[in-house]
Amino acid sequence: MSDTFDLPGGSMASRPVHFIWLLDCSGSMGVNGKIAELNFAIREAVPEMQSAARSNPGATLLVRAVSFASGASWHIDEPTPVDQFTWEDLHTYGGTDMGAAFRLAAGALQTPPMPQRALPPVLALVSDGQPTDDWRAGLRAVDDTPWGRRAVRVALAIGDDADKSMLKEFLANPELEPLQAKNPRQLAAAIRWMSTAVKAASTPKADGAGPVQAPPPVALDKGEGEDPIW
Amino acid sequence: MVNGMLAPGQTLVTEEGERVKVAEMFGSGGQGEVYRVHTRKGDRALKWYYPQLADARQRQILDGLIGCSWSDDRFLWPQTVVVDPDGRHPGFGYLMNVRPDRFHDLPALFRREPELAATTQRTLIMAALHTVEAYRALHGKGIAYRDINWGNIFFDPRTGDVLVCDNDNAVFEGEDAGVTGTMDFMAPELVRGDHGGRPGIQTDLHSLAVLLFLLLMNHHPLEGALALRIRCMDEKARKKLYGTDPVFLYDPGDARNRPVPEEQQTVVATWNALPPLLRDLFVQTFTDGLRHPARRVREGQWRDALSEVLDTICLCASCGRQNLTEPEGPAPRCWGCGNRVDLPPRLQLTTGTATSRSRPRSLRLGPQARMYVHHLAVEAERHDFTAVVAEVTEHPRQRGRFGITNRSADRWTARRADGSVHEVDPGRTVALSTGLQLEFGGGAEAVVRD
Repeated sequence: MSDTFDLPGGSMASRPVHFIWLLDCSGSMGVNGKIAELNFAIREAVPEMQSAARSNPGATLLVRAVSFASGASWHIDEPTPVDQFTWEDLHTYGGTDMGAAFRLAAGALQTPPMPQRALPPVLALVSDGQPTDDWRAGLRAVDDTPWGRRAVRVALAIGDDADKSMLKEFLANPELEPLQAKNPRQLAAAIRWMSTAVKAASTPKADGAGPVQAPPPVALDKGEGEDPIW
Repeated sequence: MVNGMLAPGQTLVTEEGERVKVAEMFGSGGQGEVYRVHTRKGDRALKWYYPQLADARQRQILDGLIGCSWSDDRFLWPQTVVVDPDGRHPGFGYLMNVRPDRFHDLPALFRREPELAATTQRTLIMAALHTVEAYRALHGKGIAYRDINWGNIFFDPRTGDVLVCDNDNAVFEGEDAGVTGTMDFMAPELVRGDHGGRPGIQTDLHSLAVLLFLLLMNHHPLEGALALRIRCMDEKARKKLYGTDPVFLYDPGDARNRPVPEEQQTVVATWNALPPLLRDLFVQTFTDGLRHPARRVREGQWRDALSEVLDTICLCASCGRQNLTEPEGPAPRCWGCGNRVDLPPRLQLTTGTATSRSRPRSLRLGPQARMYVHHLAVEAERHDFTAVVAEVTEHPRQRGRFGITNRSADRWTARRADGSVHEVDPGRTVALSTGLQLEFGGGAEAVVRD
């Protein structure tokens, strides 16, 4: 019996969904304030993420983040319940060692630390450039874990210089394309949409209309003094 | 503030040419965003579709639904199409009423969030009953909802009232349309993608049964031991669980998917507290009905069973908790304290005349038990719990003496076991006694049994 409810039984059983942001902090992300825009977009997407998680009582959303530049490190290493999740700003620090980020994620996707039972994890990759290390080996490490293989994957290319074919390889589904953001509004919309990928991991729509396959909601540029070009 | 597709202050226009002004965003979903808008007639909610989903087919569905001009307070029905007069925002949306604050979403109930703590066994059964009647009304108009799930019903924990939202995927039976539903709620034939399987009223009945099970049992009907064996609950696993090898938790002929008590205590507790009348319907719809869509439990069956169970909720004399009881069955043990529940006397009701005579139904006469207009009708269109016609009350000066008070506008006739006949005018009360017969008019009558 639940403590406050005068009803038999307790709350609905749920499974964890591990959500891992993999975020590019290379030097180029510092150009034209892209890293600031990314920080802003993620912070702004938190309520959206919380609301997506709230809509499924059968899932418990836990969020972490890896940053990569010269090497990679856990920006938030504790799987944090989304209701307690707050965003600390990322800072740029060098190259684009995406392979190192994949290897960190692969370590987290072993059992343990993953529990015996869960919903598919979500890997959300954001990058504006070309990887500078052996990203293929890192991606193989992800694919070699049972949870990594089953992960729901979303990817976002910022600007025109991102390696889109590499991002497509990360998605590992020929029908999916990485998202593309060419201005702050598109970035905000794409990050917001990626944040709700928990829905695809926890309550898939049978016709494939879940957030992973659907194109992102396009926020139209209202041209209110924002620079349309980066 | 969250950036949406529309900007606050922006003006849009309805099909009738009325201007509406966009205010704040309420939220976003799989198909679009919902905003508050100011209109001449007051605030409304606007659902604005993502551009790639605002296609001709969706527009056609909407036009059909708006054409019904259905004003039923249980539905947030589409009222009119809205577009951007300047053409800067391609696509369209539609207006509906704003969901009042008293309605909460079901996921919050399932998580037992504190703001829904007013929920009781009674309001849960009432919510189930209202849900069934709402979909029955929709299906009666030949409209299939096609995506019944926990996200589109809202519920008032104090009254059990429900509100059905996201009606813009509903279509007339037989019409083709895109959405095929949320997998956990989908009929097995749709999950499997059987040839010829398409979402419609018959598949709605499966989704409705899943929703009712979740509402009353707080657990999915197909997720027992077999689900616990699955480590990663991905799409492939769900297809098996809900589509190719679905097994009901309490399938009498297949025990593979029984709940595991150590890990699934909630459903064990809720199922134990459920009367056989409702258990049997769940067994039917999730065994035979899984394989044979025509054998799924229909809304009328749910309605009658839920209505009877509602009338026989009894309070435990030891701990005061509400217990569901079998209408004509023995006293259960209280789910809270384990003591045997004392069953109060019952009123056995019959309605109709001659060939339309109903079979008798029972109403337990606990303190504050009520009769409503639907008790006097042979087949009520809906249950309205504001339409009280009678009520068990305590004598104002003689404590412990109970009677039944006439809250209707009609005079009743009461016949006591000693043969004496009394008239009971509106507002008056007749003492409860064994064998007391009451005539309410229109063929509705009742007798008090021990």
